[in-house]
Parts: sequence; structure tokens; C-alpha cells
Amino acid sequence: MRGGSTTKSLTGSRLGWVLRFSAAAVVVMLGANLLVVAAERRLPDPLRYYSDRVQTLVTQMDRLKAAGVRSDLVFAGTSQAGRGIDPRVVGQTLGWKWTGNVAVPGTQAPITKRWLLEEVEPRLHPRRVVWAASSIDFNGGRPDPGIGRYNAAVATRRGALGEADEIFQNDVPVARHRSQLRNPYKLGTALQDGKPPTPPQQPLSALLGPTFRAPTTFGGAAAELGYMRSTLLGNFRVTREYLDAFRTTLEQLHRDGVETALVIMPVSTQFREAHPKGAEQYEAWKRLATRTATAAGANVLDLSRTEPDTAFSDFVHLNPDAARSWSALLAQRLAGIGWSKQAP
Amino acid sequence: MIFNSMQFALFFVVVLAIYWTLSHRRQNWLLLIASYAFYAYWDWRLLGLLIGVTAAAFLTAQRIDAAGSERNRKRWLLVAVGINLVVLGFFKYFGFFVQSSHDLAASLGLELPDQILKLILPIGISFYTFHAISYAMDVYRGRIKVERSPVTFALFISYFPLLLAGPIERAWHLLPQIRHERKKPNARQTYSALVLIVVGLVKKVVIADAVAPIANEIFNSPNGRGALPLAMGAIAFSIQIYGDFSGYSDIARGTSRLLGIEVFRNFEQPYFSTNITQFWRTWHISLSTWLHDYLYIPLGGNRDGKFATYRNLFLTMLLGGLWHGASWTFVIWGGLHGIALAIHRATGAVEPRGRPAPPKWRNVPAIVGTFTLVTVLWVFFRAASLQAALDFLGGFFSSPIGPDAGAWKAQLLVVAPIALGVIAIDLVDRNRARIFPLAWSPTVQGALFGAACVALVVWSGRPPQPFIYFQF
Repeated sequence: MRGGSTTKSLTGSRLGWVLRFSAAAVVVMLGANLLVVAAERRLPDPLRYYSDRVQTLVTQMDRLKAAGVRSDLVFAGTSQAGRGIDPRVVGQTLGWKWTGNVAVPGTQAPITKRWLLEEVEPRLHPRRVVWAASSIDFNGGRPDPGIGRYNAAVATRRGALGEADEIFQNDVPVARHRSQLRNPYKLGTALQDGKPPTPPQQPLSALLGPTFRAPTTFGGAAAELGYMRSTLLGNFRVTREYLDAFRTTLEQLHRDGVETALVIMPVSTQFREAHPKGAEQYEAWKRLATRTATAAGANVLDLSRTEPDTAFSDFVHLNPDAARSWSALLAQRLAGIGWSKQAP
Repeated sequence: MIFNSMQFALFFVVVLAIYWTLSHRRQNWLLLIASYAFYAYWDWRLLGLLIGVTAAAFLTAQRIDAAGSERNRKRWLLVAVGINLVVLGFFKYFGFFVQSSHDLAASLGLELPDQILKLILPIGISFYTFHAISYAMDVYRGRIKVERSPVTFALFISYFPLLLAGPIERAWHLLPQIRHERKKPNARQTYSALVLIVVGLVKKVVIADAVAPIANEIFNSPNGRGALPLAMGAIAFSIQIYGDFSGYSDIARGTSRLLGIEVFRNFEQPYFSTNITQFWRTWHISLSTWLHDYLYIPLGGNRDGKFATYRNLFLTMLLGGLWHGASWTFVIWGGLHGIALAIHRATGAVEPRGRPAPPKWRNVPAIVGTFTLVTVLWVFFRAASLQAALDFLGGFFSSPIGPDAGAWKAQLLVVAPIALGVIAIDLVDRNRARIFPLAWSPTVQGALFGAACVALVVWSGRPPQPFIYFQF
């Protein structure tokens, strides 16, 4: 009798302990979510894609898709392409109305593959795709590859875990806004400034434009060179994974009836020489990329030496003026391979 | 499959669910199969090497035990240790020595053929070969009996919670737990194991992975930054490596405890150390005691006078540095720690063994000084090359803030609260004998658990970051 009562009391106290523990945990979790809900009106929309730029491009492509637009020509690549190619200039010269620049800063071949085949192609059904690349796209040794982040973004995460996470993010405010909650500085600014106003809707023909930016001055030339050597071209090596991503993308586009071209972007002398084994390593990459693209049925335009070093804002990117004039040159070269509207 | 991934959570839940339904013998089989599956998940081609190292260690230890004379015992010990060092040397250091020869030849104006044998580094090799070496030496010293069961021994070498990044267990501690029937953990032990896992996850996901992008960004491009941003980058790395590695060790201890196996504690709040000797008694304890027992003592320890003691300290730390990786930066990092230890020893200071006492206010200058020294030396550990480390340290003498004050403020707002979080966690841990955190009211513990869950949700959803020590 006595033993039974002790057991009962122990069970009771354990149950009480568990209940108090659980209640406190639930209160804290609910409280955190309520706080986020209260602040949600002042927070910018949560990031569902790899970057703000990707999210913007997806929104724009969805608008074009909804309007039944089929793209005549799109340009893909990294920020070199994003800041170097004005699709309006190219489109006007070639006579195409629907030209767009869907280049994404910070990408490399494996990301461009997923981006082009899974997001761009199903939305825009482009007739022609230019992969505007430099050796940065192919550097499998880069210390901060973005593909992990691309694969982990809510909208581009694959598999059952990805779907579960998407549901979780949709239903749990703390999870939905976690990228903002991780950055107290941005969070503070956002709460202070309030939700950014929705920008006026651009006409369809103005979508998918370039991302011209003023030259960055952070740290000066030494810092830019250091970043280029240690990060963009750090541990430079063209890995099989990156080369395969490039080749299979071109092959898939080819199978889908899309005309393709590899445009080798202009680069500065400093850029070529910043490769760990010097300019020869860059030239070796060019030969490899050219061979691979040709074998995959793509046209190849080598425009790497068309611009003087003064045309670059930071050794890597063309400055806005140079980008516009170079885009006209690019259009002529594309016309040369029969990509203009007037071509037979 | 890393500890902070959903794959590992599913894997462990399945293993645990089956584990306690089996007899002891079958439990060992299950753990062995699970350990090999865990390892093969990384790269199945390397499983052969793990099994090969295990077989060699098992057989040579039998020979040590069976050898009639001391001479033969010693011979077989040398074979056992030699096999492991050859495996470790070949896979981990061959490329380093070839590259160093190339660099030396190039500096002399010579050009060697550019045919460097590229080898993949088998994950966890530094840990399981050290398990095997300590086993052979302990059998030779008669500290433990030779293990006759291949399954028991294979599990000792490949036990999955410890396989990739330790703690480096000793045979005398782990083998008996594998050999004998294990008790199912009671409610209190289960709870403490779960607390360890949650704390470990917080240290990894909320602390280490939160500051990692800042440390990476600053170490990847230190040029043009001011002294304070560089100092913050170095502090961010100090926090990252501590959160990362001690988080891993906590999860390893927690998961082991759920399996009825106790493993070594690997950290005792090292950043509260008041001197460099105390730091090494509280940082990566399983490695520092391993180096003490199997390197420093065989070298002569402190038995042959002051100079020999300093030399042995220096050599031990130099080799300890090289253990971390095949790079001059690790060698220099280890060597500088060796010099610091020798200098501390030369001052005549005596550092008592055992768990250090809770810090007091009067210790703050010594703690800050030791942390500063350790953080400066981490620059060599983290930098991509010796030149990069020197450039980074050179930046400490530039302007205080540098050109990008906005970025610095944003980063400081991440690093500073996380640093305070580390201090809070470690203060509680250092005082655990006095304040018994597991005896706190369930409301407080539940609230802390809720806060940990919220923090984990906020800081998850990014690609799982591999643990730093996996590369060693």
C-alpha cells in the first residue's frame, strides 16, 4: 500500500515536472513567434531564393510567363555578365523584343545549371541562351562556393526534407523570417524604416535588365586584388563537377531546341594574372571551355581581350559606360553567328 | 552525414530504437555495422582503409601479447605504431612533403616535374589511427589486456560517435564498456544526454555557424580592413572553432550516453584559462593528454632537467600542430604554443591538474591575456598560408576601423551577443558543481529549452556546415 502510494507520488511529481517544463518551453516558443508576427508588417518579404536578385528575377519571369511572353534571347552568368551586358542594347541591334539578362551574382556553373534548367527555361522558354562566362564560373576550388546555399534555399531545396522545410517556413513565423532574424543590424534597420514600399510596376519590356553598379571602393585596389586572388580565383581548379555542369546544361538546352552560345567575357590583365599559375592558367581554361562548349553544340565567341583595363571598375566587372558600348559589340558578334532577326 | 543534419538524426533514432531491444552481443554488431555505414556514407572507398587499420592493430596487439621476450614485444610495438604512422603519413603528409620539396627546389631555381600525387584525405584518419596507437602502447605497457574479440576491437576503433573527430578515447576506458553488458540509461541520464545534445547543437549551429561567415569573410580578404575588424575576425574564429569542436564533442558524449557508453569530456571552458598551460589542460583534452602520455613522457617529460623539459614541450606541441594538418601554418601554430608553454614553465608557475576553479574577478586580466594570446595564434591556424597569416597580423597595425565602418558594425552586432552567450554557457558549466543546472526548476529549464529551439530554428535552414575538425 505504502509502496504503491510512493510510486504514484513519484509518477505524479515526474508528470508535474514534465508539464511545467513543456509549458515553459511552449510559452517561450509561442512568445517568440508572436513577437515576429507583431513585427512582420515592418519586415521585408522573407527570402525564399538564393539571393534578393534571384527572387526579383523569379518575380519578373513569372510576370512575363503570365503574359505569355517567350524570350528571344537570355544572358546567364555571374555578376560579370549581370553588370556587363545590357540586353536592351543587344536586343535593339539584333531586332529582338524579348531579351533579358538573368545573370546572378555569386553563381558558378553548378548553380547556373540549376538556375537555367529549373527556373529560367520553364518560365521563359527562351529560343537562345548565351552563357557569358569567365574562369570564375568554373573554379571548383573557390573557398566559398554558393551551390550549398542555393540548394538550401526554401524554393530550390530538393527532396522530402526540402518540402518539409518549406511547409515549416510557411507555417512558423520565426522560421519564415530567420534570414532577417540572423542579422541584428539589418533587422534593426528594417524595424526602424518599416516595410520597403512596393516599387512601381515596370512595363514588361523593361524587365530582366542589367545590374549596372557604380564601382565599389571598399579597401581600394589592394583589397580588390586580394579578394580576387583569395576568393574568386582562390585554389583555382576546373573540377569535373563544374565542367560537367556546364556541358550538360548546354546539351540539355540543345536537346530542348534552344540555340546556345558561350561568350567569354572581357577580363582585365590583372584578372588574367591573378590566377594561381598566372595568365597561362586562364588561357588553359579558355581552351577547355571552348572545346567543351563546341562539343556540346554551342557557338563560342571569345571577347575576352576586347576591352582595355581602363574599362573595368574593379578588375572583374566592366564599368557601366564600357558595358553599354561592349554590349553593342557583343550584338554585332552575335549577328555574325546568325542570331539577328534579319538573318535568314 | 554530420551531427547537425536531419540524416544523422534519422540514422541515430533508428539505431537507438533497435539497439535497446537487442542482447549485448548483438548490440555490438549493430553498432559496428552502423559505424561502418556511417563512415561509408562519407566515402565507401575509404572503408577498406579503416578496416585495414583495424585488422593490423588487432593482429599486432595479439603479437605484442604473445611475444615471449621484451625485445620481441618491443619489435611488435614498433610494427604496430609504424603501420599507423605510415598510413597517417602517407595519406595526410605525402602531398605536403612533395609540395614542400617543390617549393624548396623552386626557391633554388630548380624545377621538379609537376606530378604531385593527389590523395584524398580519409576523414577521421588522425583520430582512428591515434586510437589504434594508444591501444598498442597500452597493451605493450600492460595497462590493458589484449582484446580477443575482433568485433569488440573493431567497434573500439570505429565507434561512430567518435569516429570522425573524437574525443580520442583510450582503450582502458572505452574497451571495457564495449566488452561488458551496458546498462540502459535511467531517466536522469537520458535527460542529461539530451541536454548535452541540445547544448552541442546550439554551440555548433547557433554559435559556430553564426560567426563562421564573418570569420571566413575576414580571413578570405583581410587586405584593406582596419585593425578592429581584423581583431573581430580573429575573435570570431576563436568562437567558431570552440563552438564547433566542443559542440561536436558534446553531441558525441550525449549520443554515447544514450547508448550506455560514457566518453571523455574534451573541453573544460578553455577560454577562462588564466595561463597557457591551463588552456592546454582544458582545450581538446583527449588530444593533449594523448600527446602527454604517448609523446611528451616517452620523450623524457620533465625528468631530464629544465632544458630537456622545454625542448620536450616544444617538440610535443610542434608535432601536435603537425597532427592538425599538413601545412606550415599548423607547424608554426604548434611551435609557438610550445614556446609559450616552455616560457610559462620557465617562470616557475605550477598549474594544478584537475578541473579549474570558477573564475574570479581578479582573474579577468589573466583570462583576457591568455585569450588574446590564443586568439593571435589561431590566426596561423586559420590562415590559408603563412604569408596570409603574416599579412593578417600586419593589419593589426593599420587604422582602427578601416574603410567599411557599416559592415564592421553589422558584424559586431552578431559577434558580440554570441560572445556573451559563450561566456554565459561556460560560466554555468564551470560552476556546475555548485549551481547544478540540471536541478534548476523545470520552468527555467523548459524556458531555456524553448529559447534553444527558437535559436536553432533561426540559425538552421542553411547548408549544414561540416565540423572544422573533420579535415584533420
